[in-house]
Amino acid sequence: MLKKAARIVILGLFFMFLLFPLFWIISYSFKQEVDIIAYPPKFIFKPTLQNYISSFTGKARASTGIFYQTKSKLPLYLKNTFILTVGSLFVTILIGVPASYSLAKMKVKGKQHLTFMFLSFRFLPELAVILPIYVLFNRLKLFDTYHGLIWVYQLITLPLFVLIMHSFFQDIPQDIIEAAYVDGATPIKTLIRVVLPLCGPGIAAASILCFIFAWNTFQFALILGANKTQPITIGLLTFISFQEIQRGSMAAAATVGVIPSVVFAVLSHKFIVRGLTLGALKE
Amino acid sequence: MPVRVRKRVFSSNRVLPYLLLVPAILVVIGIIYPWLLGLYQSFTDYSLLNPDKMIFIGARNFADILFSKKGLHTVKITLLYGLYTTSIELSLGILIAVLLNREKKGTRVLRAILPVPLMIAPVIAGIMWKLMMDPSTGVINYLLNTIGLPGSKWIYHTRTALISIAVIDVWIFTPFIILIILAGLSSVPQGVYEASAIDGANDFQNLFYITIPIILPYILLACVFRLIDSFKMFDLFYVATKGGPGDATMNIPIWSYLTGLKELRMGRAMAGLQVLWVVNYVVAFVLLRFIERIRKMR
Repeated sequence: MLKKAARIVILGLFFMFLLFPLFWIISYSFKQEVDIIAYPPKFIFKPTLQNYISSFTGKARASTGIFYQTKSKLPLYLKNTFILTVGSLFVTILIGVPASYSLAKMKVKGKQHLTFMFLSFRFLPELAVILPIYVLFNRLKLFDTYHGLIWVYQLITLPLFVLIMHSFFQDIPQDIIEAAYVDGATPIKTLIRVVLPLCGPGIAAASILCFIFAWNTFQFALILGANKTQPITIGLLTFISFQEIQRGSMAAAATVGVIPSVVFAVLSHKFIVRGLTLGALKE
Repeated sequence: MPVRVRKRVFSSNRVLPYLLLVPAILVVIGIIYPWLLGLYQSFTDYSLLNPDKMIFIGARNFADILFSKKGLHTVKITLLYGLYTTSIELSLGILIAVLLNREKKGTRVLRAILPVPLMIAPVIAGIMWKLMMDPSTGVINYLLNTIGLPGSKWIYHTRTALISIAVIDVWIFTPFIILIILAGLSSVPQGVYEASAIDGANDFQNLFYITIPIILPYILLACVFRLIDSFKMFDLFYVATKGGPGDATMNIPIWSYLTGLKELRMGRAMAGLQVLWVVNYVVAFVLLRFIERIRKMR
Protein backbone atom coordinates (compact mmCIF):
# COMPACT_ATOMS: atom_id res chain seq x y z
CA MET A 1 0.00 0.00 0.00
CA LEU A 2 2.71 2.39 1.01
CA LYS A 3 4.85 1.17 -1.85
CA LYS A 4 2.15 1.91 -4.37
CA ALA A 5 1.72 5.40 -2.99
CA ALA A 6 5.47 5.98 -3.22
CA ARG A 7 5.48 4.81 -6.82
CA ILE A 8 2.69 7.15 -7.76
CA VAL A 9 4.36 10.07 -6.00
CA ILE A 10 7.62 9.49 -7.83
CA LEU A 11 5.88 9.20 -11.19
CA GLY A 12 3.83 12.27 -10.41
CA LEU A 13 6.87 14.35 -9.49
CA PHE A 14 8.70 13.27 -12.62
CA PHE A 15 5.88 14.13 -14.98
CA MET A 16 5.35 17.44 -13.25
CA PHE A 17 9.04 18.08 -13.85
CA LEU A 18 8.50 17.31 -17.55
CA LEU A 19 5.39 19.39 -17.97
CA PHE A 20 6.12 22.39 -15.77
CA PRO A 21 8.49 24.27 -18.13
CA LEU A 22 5.98 23.91 -20.95
CA PHE A 23 3.14 25.29 -18.88
CA TRP A 24 5.40 28.04 -17.67
CA ILE A 25 6.42 29.24 -21.10
CA ILE A 26 2.86 29.00 -22.39
CA SER A 27 1.66 31.05 -19.44
CA TYR A 28 4.41 33.58 -20.19
CA SER A 29 3.02 33.95 -23.67
CA PHE A 30 -0.34 34.96 -22.27
CA LYS A 31 1.00 37.25 -19.56
CA GLN A 32 1.30 40.97 -19.73
CA GLU A 33 4.84 42.28 -19.47
CA VAL A 34 4.11 43.57 -16.00
CA ASP A 35 3.15 40.11 -14.79
CA ILE A 36 6.12 38.48 -16.46
CA ILE A 37 8.77 40.46 -14.63
CA ALA A 38 6.89 40.42 -11.37
CA TYR A 39 8.72 38.79 -8.52
CA PRO A 40 7.60 36.66 -6.74
CA PRO A 41 6.36 35.04 -9.95
CA LYS A 42 2.67 35.34 -10.48
CA PHE A 43 0.82 32.11 -11.01
CA ILE A 44 -2.54 33.76 -11.28
CA PHE A 45 -2.81 36.59 -13.72
CA LYS A 46 -5.02 38.28 -16.24
CA PRO A 47 -4.35 36.70 -19.64
CA THR A 48 -3.78 38.70 -22.80
CA LEU A 49 -3.27 37.97 -26.44
CA GLN A 50 -1.02 40.96 -26.85
CA ASN A 51 2.18 38.92 -27.05
CA TYR A 52 0.94 36.86 -29.93
CA ILE A 53 -0.22 39.97 -31.73
CA SER A 54 3.09 41.74 -31.15
CA SER A 55 5.21 38.83 -32.22
CA PHE A 56 3.30 38.48 -35.46
CA THR A 57 2.66 42.05 -36.38
CA GLY A 58 5.43 43.84 -34.59
CA LYS A 59 3.03 46.08 -32.78
CA ALA A 60 4.30 46.25 -29.24
CA ARG A 61 2.80 47.89 -26.25
CA ALA A 62 5.08 49.86 -23.99
CA SER A 63 4.46 49.87 -20.29
CA THR A 64 3.01 53.34 -20.64
CA GLY A 65 0.24 51.86 -22.76
CA ILE A 66 1.33 53.41 -26.02
CA PHE A 67 1.63 51.20 -29.05
CA TYR A 68 4.82 51.35 -31.04
CA GLN A 69 5.75 49.56 -34.21
CA THR A 70 8.81 47.36 -34.42
CA LYS A 71 9.62 45.10 -37.31
CA SER A 72 8.53 41.60 -36.53
CA LYS A 73 10.19 38.80 -38.32
CA LEU A 74 8.19 35.93 -36.89
CA PRO A 75 6.17 35.30 -40.04
CA LEU A 76 9.42 35.23 -41.98
CA TYR A 77 10.98 32.80 -39.52
CA LEU A 78 7.99 30.50 -39.73
CA LYS A 79 7.99 30.68 -43.50
CA ASN A 80 11.69 29.87 -43.63
CA THR A 81 11.42 26.99 -41.22
CA PHE A 82 8.58 25.61 -43.26
CA ILE A 83 10.40 25.92 -46.57
CA LEU A 84 13.59 24.39 -45.23
CA THR A 85 11.85 21.54 -43.43
CA VAL A 86 9.39 20.57 -46.14
CA GLY A 87 11.95 21.12 -48.88
CA SER A 88 14.56 18.89 -47.33
CA LEU A 89 11.94 16.29 -46.45
CA PHE A 90 10.84 16.23 -50.08
CA VAL A 91 14.38 15.70 -51.31
CA THR A 92 15.03 13.09 -48.65
CA ILE A 93 11.96 11.05 -49.56
CA LEU A 94 12.80 11.22 -53.26
CA ILE A 95 16.34 10.03 -52.71
CA GLY A 96 15.84 7.91 -49.63
CA VAL A 97 13.07 5.56 -50.67
CA PRO A 98 14.90 4.05 -53.66
CA ALA A 99 18.19 4.00 -51.78
CA SER A 100 16.90 2.20 -48.73
CA TYR A 101 14.83 -0.22 -50.81
CA SER A 102 17.93 -1.09 -52.74
CA LEU A 103 19.91 -1.62 -49.56
CA ALA A 104 17.20 -3.60 -47.85
CA LYS A 105 15.96 -5.84 -50.59
CA MET A 106 18.32 -6.00 -53.50
CA LYS A 107 21.70 -7.43 -54.29
CA VAL A 108 24.27 -4.74 -53.72
CA LYS A 109 27.91 -5.39 -53.16
CA GLY A 110 28.99 -3.99 -49.84
CA LYS A 111 25.54 -3.07 -48.67
CA GLN A 112 26.48 -3.66 -45.07
CA HIS A 113 29.26 -1.13 -45.39
CA LEU A 114 26.93 1.39 -46.95
CA THR A 115 24.32 0.85 -44.27
CA PHE A 116 26.93 1.22 -41.58
CA MET A 117 28.10 4.42 -43.23
CA PHE A 118 24.62 5.90 -42.96
CA LEU A 119 24.61 4.86 -39.33
CA SER A 120 27.95 6.50 -38.70
CA PHE A 121 26.64 9.83 -39.96
CA ARG A 122 24.47 9.83 -36.88
CA PHE A 123 27.58 9.89 -34.71
CA LEU A 124 29.42 12.54 -36.65
CA PRO A 125 29.55 15.98 -35.05
CA GLU A 126 27.70 18.15 -37.54
CA LEU A 127 30.18 20.97 -37.12
CA ALA A 128 32.89 18.78 -38.65
CA VAL A 129 30.97 19.07 -41.90
CA ILE A 130 29.42 22.50 -41.45
CA LEU A 131 32.63 24.45 -40.86
CA PRO A 132 34.36 23.30 -44.07
CA ILE A 133 31.09 23.84 -45.92
CA TYR A 134 31.07 27.40 -44.61
CA VAL A 135 34.08 28.21 -46.71
CA LEU A 136 32.84 26.18 -49.69
CA PHE A 137 29.45 27.84 -49.65
CA ASN A 138 30.93 31.28 -49.76
CA ARG A 139 32.89 30.30 -52.84
CA LEU A 140 29.97 28.55 -54.49
CA LYS A 141 27.61 31.43 -53.67
CA LEU A 142 25.36 29.02 -51.79
CA PHE A 143 25.56 30.93 -48.53
CA ASP A 144 22.20 31.94 -47.12
CA THR A 145 20.21 30.19 -49.85
CA TYR A 146 17.32 27.81 -49.46
CA HIS A 147 18.70 25.20 -51.85
CA GLY A 148 22.10 25.30 -50.21
CA LEU A 149 20.62 24.70 -46.78
CA ILE A 150 18.23 22.03 -48.03
CA TRP A 151 21.17 20.09 -49.38
CA VAL A 152 23.04 20.41 -46.08
CA TYR A 153 19.94 19.39 -44.11
CA GLN A 154 20.26 16.01 -45.85
CA LEU A 155 23.09 15.28 -43.43
CA ILE A 156 20.46 15.01 -40.73
CA THR A 157 17.41 13.76 -42.58
CA LEU A 158 18.76 11.32 -45.15
CA PRO A 159 20.53 8.83 -42.82
CA LEU A 160 17.56 8.90 -40.47
CA PHE A 161 15.08 8.29 -43.28
CA VAL A 162 17.13 5.60 -44.99
CA LEU A 163 17.70 3.63 -41.81
CA ILE A 164 14.09 3.83 -40.63
CA MET A 165 12.82 2.77 -44.06
CA HIS A 166 15.44 0.01 -44.08
CA SER A 167 13.86 -1.46 -40.99
CA PHE A 168 10.34 -1.16 -42.42
CA PHE A 169 11.37 -2.67 -45.75
CA GLN A 170 12.91 -5.59 -43.95
CA ASP A 171 9.55 -6.26 -42.39
CA ILE A 172 8.09 -7.02 -45.78
CA PRO A 173 8.37 -10.75 -46.45
CA GLN A 174 10.47 -11.59 -49.47
CA ASP A 175 7.69 -13.89 -50.73
CA ILE A 176 5.48 -11.01 -51.72
CA ILE A 177 8.24 -9.53 -53.82
CA GLU A 178 9.07 -12.86 -55.41
CA ALA A 179 5.41 -13.41 -56.17
CA ALA A 180 5.41 -10.13 -58.04
CA TYR A 181 8.47 -11.16 -60.04
CA VAL A 182 6.86 -14.47 -60.90
CA ASP A 183 3.87 -12.55 -62.18
CA GLY A 184 6.26 -10.79 -64.51
CA ALA A 185 6.67 -7.42 -62.84
CA THR A 186 9.90 -5.52 -63.21
CA PRO A 187 11.68 -4.54 -60.00
CA ILE A 188 10.60 -0.93 -60.38
CA LYS A 189 6.98 -1.88 -60.88
CA THR A 190 7.26 -4.12 -57.84
CA LEU A 191 8.54 -1.25 -55.84
CA ILE A 192 5.85 1.16 -56.90
CA ARG A 193 2.82 -1.10 -57.05
CA VAL A 194 3.48 -3.63 -54.33
CA VAL A 195 6.04 -2.48 -51.81
CA LEU A 196 5.26 1.21 -51.44
CA PRO A 197 1.58 0.76 -50.58
CA LEU A 198 2.62 -1.75 -47.93
CA CYS A 199 5.13 0.71 -46.56
CA GLY A 200 2.81 3.67 -46.40
CA PRO A 201 2.88 3.76 -42.61
CA GLY A 202 6.65 3.38 -42.65
CA ILE A 203 7.12 6.31 -44.98
CA ALA A 204 4.75 8.36 -42.87
CA ALA A 205 6.62 7.45 -39.71
CA ALA A 206 10.02 8.22 -41.19
CA SER A 207 8.72 11.48 -42.67
CA ILE A 208 7.28 12.65 -39.39
CA LEU A 209 10.51 12.03 -37.55
CA CYS A 210 12.58 13.69 -40.25
CA PHE A 211 10.19 16.62 -40.20
CA ILE A 212 10.69 17.05 -36.47
CA PHE A 213 14.46 16.82 -36.68
CA ALA A 214 14.66 19.23 -39.58
CA TRP A 215 12.29 21.66 -37.87
CA ASN A 216 14.47 21.62 -34.76
CA THR A 217 17.91 21.97 -36.30
CA PHE A 218 19.92 24.96 -35.35
CA GLN A 219 23.56 24.60 -36.33
CA PHE A 220 23.11 24.64 -40.09
CA ALA A 221 21.16 27.84 -40.28
CA LEU A 222 23.31 29.46 -37.63
CA ILE A 223 26.53 29.09 -39.57
CA LEU A 224 25.43 28.72 -43.17
CA GLY A 225 22.48 31.06 -43.17
CA ALA A 226 21.90 34.74 -42.61
CA ASN A 227 19.06 37.17 -42.86
CA LYS A 228 17.18 35.65 -45.74
CA THR A 229 16.86 32.08 -44.52
CA GLN A 230 16.66 32.26 -40.74
CA PRO A 231 14.38 29.56 -39.38
CA ILE A 232 12.60 29.98 -36.11
CA THR A 233 15.30 28.29 -34.04
CA ILE A 234 17.65 31.12 -34.95
CA GLY A 235 14.95 33.74 -35.03
CA LEU A 236 14.01 33.18 -31.42
CA LEU A 237 17.47 34.24 -30.33
CA THR A 238 16.96 37.64 -31.91
CA PHE A 239 14.29 38.38 -29.37
CA ILE A 240 17.07 38.41 -26.81
CA SER A 241 19.64 40.57 -28.46
CA PHE A 242 17.63 43.74 -28.15
CA GLN A 243 18.34 45.96 -25.20
CA GLU A 244 15.51 44.39 -23.36
CA ILE A 245 14.49 40.78 -23.51
CA GLN A 246 11.06 40.85 -25.06
CA ARG A 247 10.00 37.99 -22.89
CA GLY A 248 6.33 37.99 -23.77
CA SER A 249 6.78 38.07 -27.50
CA MET A 250 9.58 35.56 -27.30
CA ALA A 251 7.41 33.21 -25.28
CA ALA A 252 4.63 33.56 -27.83
CA ALA A 253 7.05 32.93 -30.67
CA ALA A 254 8.53 29.95 -28.86
CA THR A 255 5.10 28.48 -28.25
CA VAL A 256 4.22 28.84 -31.89
CA GLY A 257 7.54 27.35 -32.92
CA VAL A 258 7.03 24.39 -30.65
CA ILE A 259 3.50 23.51 -31.74
CA PRO A 260 4.39 21.43 -34.82
CA SER A 261 6.95 19.45 -32.86
CA VAL A 262 4.53 18.73 -30.04
CA VAL A 263 1.72 17.77 -32.40
CA PHE A 264 3.95 15.43 -34.34
CA ALA A 265 5.48 14.06 -31.17
CA VAL A 266 2.11 12.98 -29.86
CA LEU A 267 1.14 11.62 -33.29
CA SER A 268 4.34 9.65 -33.61
CA HIS A 269 4.73 8.16 -30.16
CA LYS A 270 3.97 4.70 -31.45
CA PHE A 271 6.98 4.43 -33.74
CA ILE A 272 9.29 6.86 -32.04
CA VAL A 273 11.48 4.17 -30.58
CA ARG A 274 12.09 2.58 -33.94
CA GLY A 275 12.89 5.93 -35.43
CA LEU A 276 15.16 7.29 -32.75
CA THR A 277 17.22 4.13 -32.55
CA LEU A 278 17.46 4.10 -36.34
CA GLY A 279 15.63 0.86 -36.70
CA ALA A 280 17.66 -1.01 -34.14
CA LEU A 281 14.66 -1.45 -31.90
CA LYS A 282 11.06 -2.01 -32.78
CA GLU A 283 8.25 -1.17 -30.43
CA MET B 1 8.96 -22.09 -66.02
CA PRO B 2 8.68 -19.60 -63.10
CA VAL B 3 12.35 -20.17 -62.26
CA ARG B 4 13.44 -19.19 -65.75
CA VAL B 5 11.42 -15.98 -65.65
CA ARG B 6 12.90 -15.04 -62.29
CA LYS B 7 16.44 -15.61 -63.48
CA ARG B 8 15.96 -13.46 -66.55
CA VAL B 9 14.46 -10.60 -64.61
CA PHE B 10 17.24 -10.61 -62.06
CA SER B 11 20.15 -10.74 -64.46
CA SER B 12 18.88 -7.94 -66.66
CA ASN B 13 18.54 -5.77 -63.62
CA ARG B 14 21.84 -6.24 -61.94
CA VAL B 15 22.50 -2.56 -62.43
CA LEU B 16 19.20 -1.28 -61.07
CA PRO B 17 20.04 -1.54 -57.36
CA TYR B 18 23.08 0.61 -57.93
CA LEU B 19 21.11 3.10 -59.98
CA LEU B 20 18.62 3.48 -57.17
CA LEU B 21 21.48 4.31 -54.87
CA VAL B 22 23.11 6.91 -57.08
CA PRO B 23 21.33 10.03 -55.83
CA ALA B 24 21.92 9.05 -52.22
CA ILE B 25 25.58 8.37 -52.95
CA LEU B 26 25.88 11.80 -54.53
CA VAL B 27 24.51 13.40 -51.39
CA VAL B 28 26.84 11.28 -49.30
CA ILE B 29 29.82 12.40 -51.36
CA GLY B 30 28.64 15.94 -50.85
CA ILE B 31 28.92 15.32 -47.12
CA ILE B 32 32.13 13.34 -47.09
CA TYR B 33 34.05 15.72 -49.32
CA PRO B 34 33.77 18.71 -46.95
CA TRP B 35 34.58 16.46 -44.03
CA LEU B 36 37.73 15.21 -45.77
CA LEU B 37 38.60 18.80 -46.54
CA GLY B 38 38.25 19.59 -42.87
CA LEU B 39 40.36 16.57 -42.00
CA TYR B 40 43.14 17.85 -44.23
CA GLN B 41 42.77 21.35 -42.81
CA SER B 42 43.21 20.01 -39.31
CA PHE B 43 46.82 19.25 -40.19
CA THR B 44 47.47 22.81 -41.33
CA ASP B 45 47.44 26.25 -39.83
CA TYR B 46 44.55 27.27 -42.05
CA SER B 47 43.14 30.58 -40.95
CA LEU B 48 40.34 32.56 -42.53
CA LEU B 49 42.48 35.65 -42.19
CA ASN B 50 44.95 34.23 -44.69
CA PRO B 51 42.89 31.74 -46.65
CA ASP B 52 45.48 31.30 -49.34
CA LYS B 53 48.42 30.59 -47.08
CA MET B 54 47.85 27.11 -45.74
CA ILE B 55 50.99 25.52 -44.32
CA PHE B 56 51.13 21.89 -43.41
CA ILE B 57 52.07 21.71 -39.76
CA GLY B 58 51.49 18.07 -39.09
CA ALA B 59 50.02 17.12 -35.78
CA ARG B 60 50.70 20.36 -33.97
CA ASN B 61 47.00 21.25 -33.71
CA PHE B 62 46.30 17.87 -32.20
CA ALA B 63 49.19 18.11 -29.77
CA ASP B 64 47.85 21.46 -28.69
CA ILE B 65 44.43 20.07 -28.00
CA LEU B 66 45.50 16.90 -26.30
CA PHE B 67 48.44 18.12 -24.30
CA SER B 68 47.96 21.78 -23.52
CA LYS B 69 46.21 22.89 -20.36
CA LYS B 70 43.40 24.60 -22.25
CA GLY B 71 43.01 21.70 -24.63
CA LEU B 72 42.81 19.13 -21.88
CA HIS B 73 40.27 21.29 -20.09
CA THR B 74 38.07 21.32 -23.18
CA VAL B 75 38.30 17.56 -23.49
CA LYS B 76 37.59 17.22 -19.80
CA ILE B 77 34.46 19.37 -20.00
CA THR B 78 33.23 17.37 -22.98
CA LEU B 79 33.71 14.04 -21.24
CA LEU B 80 32.38 15.30 -17.92
CA TYR B 81 29.20 16.55 -19.55
CA GLY B 82 28.69 13.18 -21.21
CA LEU B 83 29.23 11.45 -17.89
CA TYR B 84 26.83 13.69 -15.95
CA THR B 85 24.03 13.54 -18.47
CA THR B 86 24.26 9.85 -19.31
CA SER B 87 24.50 8.67 -15.72
CA ILE B 88 21.65 10.82 -14.47
CA GLU B 89 19.44 10.05 -17.45
CA LEU B 90 20.10 6.32 -17.28
CA SER B 91 19.37 6.04 -13.56
CA LEU B 92 16.31 8.25 -13.66
CA GLY B 93 15.14 6.71 -16.91
CA ILE B 94 15.38 3.13 -15.73
CA LEU B 95 13.62 4.01 -12.49
CA ILE B 96 10.73 5.76 -14.19
CA ALA B 97 10.44 3.13 -16.90
CA VAL B 98 10.25 0.34 -14.35
CA LEU B 99 7.64 2.24 -12.37
CA LEU B 100 5.63 3.00 -15.49
CA ASN B 101 5.79 -0.61 -16.54
CA ARG B 102 4.44 -1.68 -13.18
CA GLU B 103 1.31 0.43 -13.47
CA LYS B 104 -0.92 -0.84 -16.21
CA LYS B 105 -3.81 1.58 -15.86
CA GLY B 106 -3.65 5.23 -16.73
CA THR B 107 -0.16 5.17 -18.15
CA ARG B 108 -1.26 5.57 -21.73
CA VAL B 109 -1.59 9.31 -21.31
CA LEU B 110 1.78 9.50 -19.59
CA ARG B 111 3.43 7.52 -22.36
CA ALA B 112 1.99 9.88 -24.94
CA ILE B 113 3.40 12.84 -23.01
CA LEU B 114 6.88 11.36 -22.85
CA PRO B 115 8.04 12.31 -26.36
CA VAL B 116 7.10 15.97 -25.92
CA PRO B 117 10.27 17.33 -24.25
CA LEU B 118 12.24 15.11 -26.60
CA MET B 119 10.74 16.62 -29.72
CA ILE B 120 11.05 20.26 -28.74
CA ALA B 121 13.96 21.99 -30.40
CA PRO B 122 16.88 21.92 -27.93
CA VAL B 123 17.39 25.62 -28.63
CA ILE B 124 13.87 26.41 -27.51
CA ALA B 125 14.22 24.22 -24.45
CA GLY B 126 17.46 26.03 -23.68
CA ILE B 127 15.78 29.42 -23.91
CA MET B 128 12.91 28.24 -21.70
CA TRP B 129 15.23 26.92 -19.03
CA LYS B 130 17.52 29.92 -19.26
CA LEU B 131 14.57 32.13 -18.37
CA MET B 132 13.45 29.85 -15.57
CA MET B 133 16.95 29.56 -14.13
CA ASP B 134 17.56 33.27 -13.89
CA PRO B 135 19.09 33.71 -10.43
CA SER B 136 17.08 36.75 -9.45
CA THR B 137 13.84 36.66 -11.42
CA GLY B 138 13.58 33.01 -12.35
CA VAL B 139 10.83 30.79 -11.10
CA ILE B 140 13.11 27.89 -10.16
CA ASN B 141 15.01 29.72 -7.48
CA TYR B 142 11.69 31.05 -6.25
CA LEU B 143 10.25 27.57 -5.91
CA LEU B 144 13.40 26.30 -4.23
CA ASN B 145 13.27 29.13 -1.73
CA THR B 146 9.66 28.38 -1.00
CA ILE B 147 10.49 24.90 0.14
CA GLY B 148 13.45 26.14 2.11
CA LEU B 149 16.28 25.31 -0.25
CA PRO B 150 18.81 27.91 -1.32
CA GLY B 151 18.71 29.20 -4.85
CA SER B 152 21.61 28.85 -7.23
CA LYS B 153 23.45 30.99 -9.71
CA TRP B 154 22.89 28.21 -12.28
CA ILE B 155 24.56 29.05 -15.57
CA TYR B 156 26.18 32.20 -14.25
CA HIS B 157 28.67 30.60 -11.88
CA THR B 158 31.67 28.55 -12.93
CA ARG B 159 30.96 25.76 -10.49
CA THR B 160 27.31 25.28 -11.38
CA ALA B 161 27.21 26.17 -15.08
CA LEU B 162 27.95 22.74 -16.53
CA ILE B 163 25.52 20.96 -14.24
CA SER B 164 22.86 23.54 -15.12
CA ILE B 165 23.17 22.71 -18.79
CA ALA B 166 23.13 19.03 -17.83
CA VAL B 167 19.79 19.63 -16.09
CA ILE B 168 18.31 20.94 -19.32
CA ASP B 169 19.73 17.91 -21.12
CA VAL B 170 18.16 15.60 -18.53
CA TRP B 171 14.80 17.28 -19.04
CA ILE B 172 14.95 16.84 -22.80
CA PHE B 173 16.46 13.38 -23.11
CA THR B 174 15.36 11.26 -20.14
CA PRO B 175 12.15 10.40 -22.03
CA PHE B 176 14.34 8.95 -24.77
CA ILE B 177 15.88 6.52 -22.30
CA ILE B 178 12.49 5.74 -20.80
CA LEU B 179 11.03 4.85 -24.19
CA ILE B 180 13.90 2.53 -25.00
CA ILE B 181 13.82 0.82 -21.61
CA LEU B 182 10.05 0.40 -21.86
CA ALA B 183 10.57 -1.38 -25.16
CA GLY B 184 13.08 -3.60 -23.42
CA LEU B 185 10.87 -4.28 -20.43
CA SER B 186 8.09 -5.49 -22.67
CA SER B 187 10.38 -8.30 -23.75
CA VAL B 188 10.88 -9.62 -20.22
CA PRO B 189 8.85 -12.77 -19.68
CA GLN B 190 6.37 -12.43 -16.83
CA GLY B 191 7.22 -15.84 -15.40
CA VAL B 192 10.60 -14.62 -14.27
CA TYR B 193 9.12 -12.38 -11.60
CA GLU B 194 6.78 -15.07 -10.42
CA ALA B 195 9.70 -17.40 -9.97
CA SER B 196 11.68 -14.84 -8.05
CA ALA B 197 8.67 -14.08 -5.86
CA ILE B 198 8.67 -17.74 -4.88
CA ASP B 199 12.29 -17.40 -3.95
CA GLY B 200 11.35 -14.47 -1.75
CA ALA B 201 13.12 -11.69 -3.62
CA ASN B 202 12.25 -8.11 -2.78
CA ASP B 203 11.90 -5.23 -5.20
CA PHE B 204 15.52 -4.11 -5.13
CA GLN B 205 16.80 -7.58 -5.77
CA ASN B 206 14.32 -7.96 -8.61
CA LEU B 207 15.57 -4.77 -10.17
CA PHE B 208 19.28 -5.33 -9.90
CA TYR B 209 19.64 -9.07 -10.29
CA ILE B 210 16.86 -9.81 -12.76
CA THR B 211 15.53 -6.82 -14.65
CA ILE B 212 18.72 -4.98 -15.38
CA PRO B 213 20.69 -7.98 -16.63
CA ILE B 214 17.83 -8.94 -18.94
CA ILE B 215 17.43 -5.48 -20.45
CA LEU B 216 21.16 -4.84 -20.58
CA PRO B 217 21.31 -4.58 -24.41
CA TYR B 218 18.67 -1.87 -24.28
CA ILE B 219 20.48 -0.01 -21.54
CA LEU B 220 23.69 -0.13 -23.53
CA LEU B 221 21.95 1.02 -26.70
CA ALA B 222 20.50 4.00 -24.88
CA CYS B 223 23.95 4.60 -23.44
CA VAL B 224 25.56 4.70 -26.88
CA PHE B 225 23.14 7.25 -28.23
CA ARG B 226 23.25 9.49 -25.20
CA LEU B 227 27.00 9.44 -24.70
CA ILE B 228 27.67 10.29 -28.31
CA ASP B 229 24.99 12.93 -28.58
CA SER B 230 26.10 14.64 -25.40
CA PHE B 231 29.74 14.66 -26.46
CA LYS B 232 28.74 16.55 -29.58
CA MET B 233 26.07 18.74 -27.99
CA PHE B 234 26.27 22.26 -29.37
CA ASP B 235 22.81 23.83 -29.32
CA LEU B 236 22.34 23.92 -25.56
CA PHE B 237 25.82 25.20 -24.93
CA TYR B 238 25.42 27.96 -27.49
CA VAL B 239 22.09 29.16 -26.18
CA ALA B 240 22.97 28.92 -22.50
CA THR B 241 26.55 30.01 -22.06
CA LYS B 242 28.61 29.94 -25.25
CA GLY B 243 31.39 28.33 -23.26
CA GLY B 244 31.28 30.63 -20.27
CA PRO B 245 31.49 31.80 -17.59
CA GLY B 246 35.18 31.92 -18.35
CA ASP B 247 35.62 28.52 -19.90
CA ALA B 248 33.54 26.56 -17.43
CA THR B 249 31.36 25.11 -20.18
CA MET B 250 33.80 25.04 -23.04
CA ASN B 251 33.17 21.68 -24.65
CA ILE B 252 34.74 20.66 -27.94
CA PRO B 253 31.88 21.71 -30.26
CA ILE B 254 31.59 25.18 -28.75
CA TRP B 255 35.34 25.52 -28.65
CA SER B 256 35.60 24.58 -32.32
CA TYR B 257 32.87 27.02 -33.24
CA LEU B 258 34.57 29.87 -31.42
CA THR B 259 38.04 28.95 -32.66
CA GLY B 260 36.89 28.57 -36.24
CA LEU B 261 34.43 31.40 -36.68
CA LYS B 262 35.49 33.97 -34.10
CA GLU B 263 39.23 33.45 -33.94
CA LEU B 264 39.10 32.33 -37.57
CA ARG B 265 41.65 29.59 -36.92
CA MET B 266 39.96 26.92 -38.96
CA GLY B 267 42.80 24.43 -38.85
CA ARG B 268 42.74 24.25 -35.08
CA ALA B 269 38.96 24.09 -34.99
CA MET B 270 38.90 21.19 -37.41
CA ALA B 271 41.46 19.32 -35.33
CA GLY B 272 39.22 19.50 -32.29
CA LEU B 273 36.32 18.14 -34.29
CA GLN B 274 38.36 15.23 -35.64
CA VAL B 275 39.29 14.27 -32.08
CA LEU B 276 35.61 14.39 -31.15
CA TRP B 277 34.60 12.34 -34.12
CA VAL B 278 37.19 9.67 -33.37
CA VAL B 279 36.09 9.44 -29.74
CA ASN B 280 32.46 9.07 -30.82
CA TYR B 281 33.34 6.42 -33.35
CA VAL B 282 35.38 4.39 -30.86
CA VAL B 283 32.64 4.58 -28.22
CA ALA B 284 30.01 3.55 -30.76
CA PHE B 285 32.10 0.73 -32.14
CA VAL B 286 33.03 -0.74 -28.77
CA LEU B 287 29.55 -0.53 -27.28
CA LEU B 288 27.74 -1.75 -30.37
CA ARG B 289 30.10 -4.72 -30.63
CA PHE B 290 29.45 -5.46 -26.97
CA ILE B 291 25.70 -5.35 -27.53
CA GLU B 292 26.05 -7.72 -30.49
CA ARG B 293 28.01 -10.14 -28.36
CA ILE B 294 25.42 -10.12 -25.62
CA ARG B 295 22.66 -10.69 -28.13
CA LYS B 296 24.53 -13.61 -29.67
CA MET B 297 25.12 -15.20 -26.29
CA ARG B 298 21.42 -15.40 -25.75
